[in-house]
Amino acid sequence: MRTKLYHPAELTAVLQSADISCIPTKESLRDYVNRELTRGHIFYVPCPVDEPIHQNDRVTLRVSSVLSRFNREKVSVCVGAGLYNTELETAMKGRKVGESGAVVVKGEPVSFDILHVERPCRPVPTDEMAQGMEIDGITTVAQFSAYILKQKQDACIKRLSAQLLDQAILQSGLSAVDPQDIRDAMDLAYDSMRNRFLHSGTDLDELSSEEWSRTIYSPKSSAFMEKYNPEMAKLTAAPDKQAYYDLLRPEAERSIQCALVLCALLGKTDERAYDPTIRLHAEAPLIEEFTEKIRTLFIKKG
Amino acid sequence: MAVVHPTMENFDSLIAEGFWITDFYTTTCGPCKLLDMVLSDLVSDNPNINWAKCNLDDDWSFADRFEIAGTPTLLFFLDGDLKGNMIGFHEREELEAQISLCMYGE
Repeated sequence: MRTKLYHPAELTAVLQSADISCIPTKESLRDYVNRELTRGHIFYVPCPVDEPIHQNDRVTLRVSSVLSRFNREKVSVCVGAGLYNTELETAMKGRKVGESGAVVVKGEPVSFDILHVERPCRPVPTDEMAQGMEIDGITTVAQFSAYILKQKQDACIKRLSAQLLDQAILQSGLSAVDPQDIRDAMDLAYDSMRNRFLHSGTDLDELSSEEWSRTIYSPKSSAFMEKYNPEMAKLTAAPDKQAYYDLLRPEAERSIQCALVLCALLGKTDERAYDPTIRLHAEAPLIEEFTEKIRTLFIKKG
Repeated sequence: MAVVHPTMENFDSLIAEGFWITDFYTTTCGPCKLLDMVLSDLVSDNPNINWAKCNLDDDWSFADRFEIAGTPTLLFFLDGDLKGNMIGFHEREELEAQISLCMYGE
C-alpha cells in the first residue's frame, strides 16, 4: 500500500460534528407507530353539519351534468383521494352540508350538492392490531413499538454514518490515493470476477470484445441491476476488459479512501485490517464497525 | 375498514355494501407480496375502499367460483356487483385508474 494512512487527528472534527438528534426516539415515533397499527382500521363518524369539509372526509353528494359519471342522485367520495375527480374534490373543501357548488369537467358544467359528511377516525391501538401486522414473534403493541423503533434507528444511524464518512473523505483530500494502489484494487476486483467465470469454464482474459459483451452483459439482469444497483449495471455494460477497468476506477478509488479514512477514525493500525489492495472491499466491515461506533455514541448520549 | 379474510360462506354478505377489492393470492407468489404492499398503502390512504384477502392455499373453491387462472387476481365489487378485475402485479396509478372506473363509471 503506497497511499499514506491518515492521522486520526485530521478527522476528529468529523466525529465531533455528529448530530445524533436526528435519530428517532420512542417518543418521536409514538404517532408513527399508532398510525401504522391503525391503518386499515379507520372508521368514519358523522361530521357536525356546521363543520367545513376537510381533506380525507367522506362526502355524500348529489351531482348533475350531461356526463353520466357526474349525473347521480347519490355518490360517495373520499375528498383528496383523486378517485372521482380532482377538481370537484378540491371544490368541496371548506363547504358544509347543504351547500352547493359547480366545476367544469371536460368542458361541461358539473353541479353538486353536499348531502352528508363523515370524518375518518382512528381507533386506539390494540394487541390484536399488532398481531395483525404478521411480524414474527410480535403479539403486543409494546413489542411492535420496539420493533419499529429499532428499524427506524438502524436506518437513521446508517444514513448518519454514511454522511460522516463522506465528510471525512472530503476533509482528508480527494487526490491523495496513489495510482498504483488504485490499479491493485481494480486487479483484485477483476480477478475475483474472473475466478467466478473460470468456475463455469470461461476465461475472461481469452475472450474477444464480442464474446466479452455476450458473456458479461444480459439485458434481463442489466435491467434488474439498473433499478437496484446502478453502479453494478454500469460495469456489466462494459464492452471489454479495458472499459471494465475504466468504469471500475472511481469505485476502486472510493473504496481505498473509505478504508483509509475509516481505519483512521477507528484507530486501526494493522494494515491487513484495512488495506483494500490486498483485500477486496476492505471498507465494508469497517463501515459496519463505524456504524456501531455511532450507535454507541447515540446510546451514551441518549 | 380493516382488512378482512372472508370465507366462502360469508363472502357475498360481506361485499354486499360499499366498494370492495377482493384480492386472490397464494402464500408463495412473489408478485402477490409486492401487490400486497401497494394495496396496503392505497387502502390505508382511502378508507372508503374495503379490502378482502382470499388465500387460495386455504380455500381453493374461490378459484373455482371466480374462474381465477393466476395470482394475484383482483376483483372489484360495488354494492355486491362485480365491476372489473385485474390480474398480475400493477403499480398504484394503474390500480387507482381501474378503481376509479369501477367505483364511478366512465
